[in-house]
Amino acid sequence: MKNVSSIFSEVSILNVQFLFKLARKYLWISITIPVVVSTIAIYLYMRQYDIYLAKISFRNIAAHQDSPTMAIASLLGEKPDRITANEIVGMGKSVDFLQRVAIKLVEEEDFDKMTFDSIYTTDKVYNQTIFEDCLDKACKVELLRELIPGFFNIDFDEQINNRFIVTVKTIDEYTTAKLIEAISAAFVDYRTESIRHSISQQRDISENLLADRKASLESIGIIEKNERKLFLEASLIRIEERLKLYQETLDAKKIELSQTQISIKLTKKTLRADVDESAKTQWEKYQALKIRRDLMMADITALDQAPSSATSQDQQILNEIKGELSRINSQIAKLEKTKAVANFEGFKAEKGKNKDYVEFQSEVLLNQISELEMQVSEIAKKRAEVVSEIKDLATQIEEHRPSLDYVKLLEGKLLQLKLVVGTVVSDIKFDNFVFEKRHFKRHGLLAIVPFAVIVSLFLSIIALLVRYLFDERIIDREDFKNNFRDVEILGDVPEL
Amino acid sequence: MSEVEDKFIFQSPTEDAIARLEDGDCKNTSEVICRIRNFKHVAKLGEELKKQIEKGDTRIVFSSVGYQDSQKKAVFAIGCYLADVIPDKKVLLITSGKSGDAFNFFKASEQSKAIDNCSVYRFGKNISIIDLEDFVGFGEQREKTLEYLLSAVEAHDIVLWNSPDVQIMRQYLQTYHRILQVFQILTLIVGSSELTTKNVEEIKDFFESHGISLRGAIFSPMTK
Repeated sequence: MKNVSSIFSEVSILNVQFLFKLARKYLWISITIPVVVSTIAIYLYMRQYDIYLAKISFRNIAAHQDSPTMAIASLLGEKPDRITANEIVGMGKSVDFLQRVAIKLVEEEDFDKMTFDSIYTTDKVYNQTIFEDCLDKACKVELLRELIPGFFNIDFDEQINNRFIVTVKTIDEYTTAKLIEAISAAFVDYRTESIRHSISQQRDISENLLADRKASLESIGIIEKNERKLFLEASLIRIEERLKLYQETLDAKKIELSQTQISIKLTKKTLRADVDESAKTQWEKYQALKIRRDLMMADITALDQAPSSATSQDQQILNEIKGELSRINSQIAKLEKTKAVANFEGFKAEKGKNKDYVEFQSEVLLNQISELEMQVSEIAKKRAEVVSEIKDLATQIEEHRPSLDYVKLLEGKLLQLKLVVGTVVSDIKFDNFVFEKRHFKRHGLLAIVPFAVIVSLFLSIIALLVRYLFDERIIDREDFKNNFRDVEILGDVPEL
Repeated sequence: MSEVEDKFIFQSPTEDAIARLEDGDCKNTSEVICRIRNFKHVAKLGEELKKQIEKGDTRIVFSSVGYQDSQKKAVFAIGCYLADVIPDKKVLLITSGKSGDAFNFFKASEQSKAIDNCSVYRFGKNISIIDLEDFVGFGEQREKTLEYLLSAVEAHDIVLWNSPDVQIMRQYLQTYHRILQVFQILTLIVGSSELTTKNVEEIKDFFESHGISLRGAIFSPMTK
């Protein structure tokens, strides 16, 4: 074997110049290896199937206070189940989740047209072939559950907080789309169910606790007493309302009676007073003058509207009527003050007529007041009894107040949980669009070509060096010098 | 310009000399050197060997594997150069066969009979040439011819031997053993692209077993 020192260089480790010399010397190696490697690289490139990639993003809205479940839960004083970012990423690998995805996919009508063949495959087959050994759906689900983790991954979005990205890669565009759909749906279902399950568990626990506590309290009759107390408290409210109503009515009747009695007193006084006869005669005269004045005014109006050819006699009559009218007006003015005397007479007559009615009314009011006073007294008595009983029950219940409060709290809690269960929505919210859809070769030309070049170079160098080390032929003077260091190179053979 | 190149410019032949050389009329060693296409290589080789000669290694063997023609050319060219630059020393060139370019030397030489049918050829002022095939070819008189050959070696100041292939020497070791013993250093002609380190080791070991050390190598222009 040759001396290896010529291969190495103090500057560049490998003696590049010497390697080039070897490449020229062993030209078949220098050509064959790159050609073979390039051929293999092209073959591998051509054999690759396109990988269809699609991404969909989702957010964990439970991290926000304004999420629907959070909002409802907060309103009801409830804290819903929350999930951390790491749990979300880990959830993608849980068997339960994978099972859901697998079931959704297997239930697709065109499941057989999809392919869950490896993205590294060089011989693509569809599900019909992959799952041909499975005779039922369960078998397919089980097998698919093992396969699908290789086709997707869930990562944090490094740029946007609380955003996650599901990346799906298969060798079939349709399969990629379906897998994205299945993962999105399974994620939401899985999460909704988890939250509902969590709340349901809390509800069950609360129900059990409540039943236990109630049973304990019932055994000593506290529940009944409490219920009796509550019933009495409600009754007391009604009694008080009734009492208030009766009292108010009684007061109103008393005021009314007082007014009626005053009215009777005044009526009697009015009826005892005398009427002035002179004033009465003047009032009748006043009434007659008013009628005459109206007639005279009608005559004057008629004469004023007569044609202009009226005679002086007519004019004289008109003047006489006007003079008479003036005198009557003067008398009417004087007799005006007799009106009050005339009215009093009418008023007295009217009071005389009403006197009996008012007296009857007063009698009725007296009876009503008497009745009302009796009822108010009864209600007040009943109220006092109820208040007394409530006080008595309260004393008995007070000893068990903490237990009763606890029962009350549990009832409130149970109600809240029932309301929350009915309104659970997933805290995982997927976008309704897929982004970054593209297809590519697993190893693109940009990777294959440099790889082929590097491998070619590496293998060529190795092959050249091995060939050189085991090649005993002397390549050139440098090679000779390396192998026979004590022999001086004198020069070249002369040509004659 | 080096000293060697100056010397060659100084010794450039006249136009008349070139005309005579083209007709194959080589009478002068300098003219031979000037005919050599890569004469600068000869000068370098000659100077390197001259240094060794000056150190006392005056008997030099040239050997190779499958490159006898280059070996022969090297011996004649270097011999001519040394004879030219050391004119006061007698140079003996021992070769095998008269074929190839060496034929011109024999043709241009003066042949003088040595013993029996063996001849010594005189070329130029101070070069003698012996064709070893003439000497070792006579079986019965081998001892006699060997004695003459060894005495001829002794009689010259500088001896350059274009040795046959090592395998042949091994085959006729009883003849070559005695010749080998009078030589001091070996110059290897690396002329064949098929020459291996194993070949070199073999040659080196063979000559070293006869007290001849490998000192230098001359490369054929074919091998870069």
